[in-house]
Amino acid sequence: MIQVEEVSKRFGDLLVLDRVSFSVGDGEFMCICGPTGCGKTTLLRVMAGLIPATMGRVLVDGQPLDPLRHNISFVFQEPSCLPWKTVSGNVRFSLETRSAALRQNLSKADMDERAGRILDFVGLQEFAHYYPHQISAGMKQRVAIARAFVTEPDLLLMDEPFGYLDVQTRYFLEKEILRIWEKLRRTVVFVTHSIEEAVYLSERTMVLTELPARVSATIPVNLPQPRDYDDPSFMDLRRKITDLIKWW
Amino acid sequence: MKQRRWQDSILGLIVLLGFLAAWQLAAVVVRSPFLPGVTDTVGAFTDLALHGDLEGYSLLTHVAVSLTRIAAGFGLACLLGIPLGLLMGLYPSVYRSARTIVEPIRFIPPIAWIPIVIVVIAGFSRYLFIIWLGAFFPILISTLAGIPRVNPVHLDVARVHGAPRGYLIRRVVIPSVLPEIFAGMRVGLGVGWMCIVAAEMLGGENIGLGRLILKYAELFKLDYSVAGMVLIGLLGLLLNEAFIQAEKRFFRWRWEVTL
Amino acid sequence: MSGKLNWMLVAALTAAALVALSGLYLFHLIGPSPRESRSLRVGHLVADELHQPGWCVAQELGFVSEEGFEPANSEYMNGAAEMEHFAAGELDVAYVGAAPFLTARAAGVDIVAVASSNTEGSSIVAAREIRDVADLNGMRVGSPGIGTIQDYILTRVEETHGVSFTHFYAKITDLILYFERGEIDAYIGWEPHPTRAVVEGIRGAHTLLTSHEILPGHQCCVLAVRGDMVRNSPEVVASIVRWHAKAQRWVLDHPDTAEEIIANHSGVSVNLIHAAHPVVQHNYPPYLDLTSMRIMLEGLMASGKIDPEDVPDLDSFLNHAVDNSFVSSLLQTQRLSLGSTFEPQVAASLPRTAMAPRGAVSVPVSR
Repeated sequence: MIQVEEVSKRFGDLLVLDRVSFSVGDGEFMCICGPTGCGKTTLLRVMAGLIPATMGRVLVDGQPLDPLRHNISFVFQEPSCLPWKTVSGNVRFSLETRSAALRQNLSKADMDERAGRILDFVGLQEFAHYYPHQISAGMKQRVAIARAFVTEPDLLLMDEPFGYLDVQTRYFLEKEILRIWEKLRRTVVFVTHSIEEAVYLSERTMVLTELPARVSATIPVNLPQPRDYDDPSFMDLRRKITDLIKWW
Repeated sequence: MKQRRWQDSILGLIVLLGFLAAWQLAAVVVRSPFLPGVTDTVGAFTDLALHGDLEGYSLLTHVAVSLTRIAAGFGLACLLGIPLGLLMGLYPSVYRSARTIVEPIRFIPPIAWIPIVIVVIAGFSRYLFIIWLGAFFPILISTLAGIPRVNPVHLDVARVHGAPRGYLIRRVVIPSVLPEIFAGMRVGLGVGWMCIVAAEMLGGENIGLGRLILKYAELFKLDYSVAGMVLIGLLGLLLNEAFIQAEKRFFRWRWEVTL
Repeated sequence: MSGKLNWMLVAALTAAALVALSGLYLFHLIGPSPRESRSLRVGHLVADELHQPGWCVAQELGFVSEEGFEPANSEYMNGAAEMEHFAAGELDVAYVGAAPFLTARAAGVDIVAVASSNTEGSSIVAAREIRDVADLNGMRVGSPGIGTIQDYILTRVEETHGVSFTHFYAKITDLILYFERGEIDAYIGWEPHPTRAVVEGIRGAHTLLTSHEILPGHQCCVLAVRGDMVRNSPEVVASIVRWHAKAQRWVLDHPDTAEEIIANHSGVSVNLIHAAHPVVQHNYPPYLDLTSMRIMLEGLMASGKIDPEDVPDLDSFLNHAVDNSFVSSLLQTQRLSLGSTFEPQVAASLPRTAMAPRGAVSVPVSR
């Protein structure tokens, strides 16, 4: 259970986040939408512990957020595969890092096995020994997703992960992420500027205002899976959320 | 693809032959004893290879001695340059304070050090120092300049999982910077190689490729000097190529390797 | 498209033409040729005033300007460097050692020796542990350059005494540094550099051999001019020989003042010059000694420094390389000679004093 309490973030004179408060349930898939440049990425980075909040705090299961104690993963918008590692090397990297951070000393065989399983699951096993520069952009993001899931995180943050991909790959990966999430059931907070994507993926969509960002509204999305873009209730929700966001 | 490589090779060969022809023509036209032509140089080179030089040292001895000097200077430059570069890159305050010394010294050419080196340093260390001077700065600068260029996303990937600073340096920063360090080493080796003649101007026994060139120049046998020059150039080229091949193998994950 | 090709062609041809032109200019095939005016470009060796006092004395005392020349001076690290610049057309007159002179001439430089600057004048100094020449075996002995007379003398010592050592090359002024550090245990050089180690007491340095003991009366530094000057403007060469001979004579007649002038020019103490002076012979009349030059030539060819192909006939080569006629004519016309002999001879110029190197023999001055 993640709680964001009155989080504000200021960069110098610029107030980006203004007392943002919300919570995310265990295993929930929540999307965050908002106008361009409203601070969605900043919010996510605060939730990941990459930057400190100027005021307010983030609690994970009642404890203040700590990347060391809490198991957090992040899928970035830009390609984030380590270029000097193969696909399987990248996936193992999060396990290795976690193991080193916690001084756990996971055995190599253990890590190999877990990495192999997740690669199997996302369908990349035959590319295990490829380098990132040899695979497509969509596949790179799948590697990043596999890498994020393999550590069995308490919280998985995704910052517009399909933003740089073409439409067809997006559709494919949206289906994929749902499949993975339904199987593995981790808590996901997914930022997107595509309202369609938010309605397609989320159980709940939170809408932020423009700068400085506050929570504008939280819309539950109670449509059954698999969702259909042309379904009237789908398009209703879309319109509703679009109206909330509309700054033009 | 293969056909293009053949075409490039043939084109390169034609250019080389053209240059040699122009050189020989120039030598014939000028007809000065001080401008050896291609045939003279080749003859001198063969003589050196077969009979050694006029003092009895074989060509192999000269090459081995020069290579040893370069290896020592270059090795020391890597040993000092890479850790210092990492330190200065990771801790900018160290760089800022060291800058006031490093920057001026960097621009003093190794040759300018010769008068002091003769007096202050003795023996083999003289060569070591001059070559080290040449090789050190490219390595240092490449290393420290590569660190800010580490992709912040890569660092974030590890940070999110709780990576401590040491882990970040070892597992993200260093692998990221390694290609740039290697490139710096290649440049450093090249500069160090070019310093060999300067270093060997210091005086000493007449062994070494630089000394070979100077020795024969003193005796007005410029065909031998040019043969020595060509040999130095070829060896430098080979070393550079070897480096590039090593880079290609170690850094398969990069999609371009620069010259 | 074809317009673009035309431009490229024009650019390429222009570039090629520029390269060719600069090449031709560099090799003096076009452009101004070295002038033959009264402005004279003279080269001499750095720190070698004791061997080449004629030059600084002649300048100081105005003998050169008396002849109407405006000299432009250049200094060189050793004879080989000087000859390289001479070959490039940068000098008209050179004070240079006989060995580099012969090497240059054999390589095809158009240079002719017209007078002697000094004979002998080098010594081998060694550290205290080295008592005699046999001790040099297997040691490292410093030499100011592979093309120098001194290096030839070292080889000659190896041959005549049956020893073998490594030649360690360095700048003349650096030899004493290497010696001090123990990187070499002995060295040869032109005076006053060897005696300097003795005078300063470095490592108990003492003179092992002087050039007199190795090859008595050997030609050392010569006065040489461009070959085309000898052929086309002999009167210019005669003037040059005249101020040189005057200066040589003056040095013999006024040794103390000469030592002061030399000390001033070379920046060392008068005491050092005075101590080193006896090793150097400024022969008068300044004839070039063909005998020793022939021996040297043979030696240079034997050690591979000169290609035998470049010197098919030694005597013919020497006769063309050396021209004593200017000195003879000068003596005939000016009657500066204090004797009436016209044959080339080596005259001892100074009585050897008690500070002379070991083994010196007192030679009566022929007057």
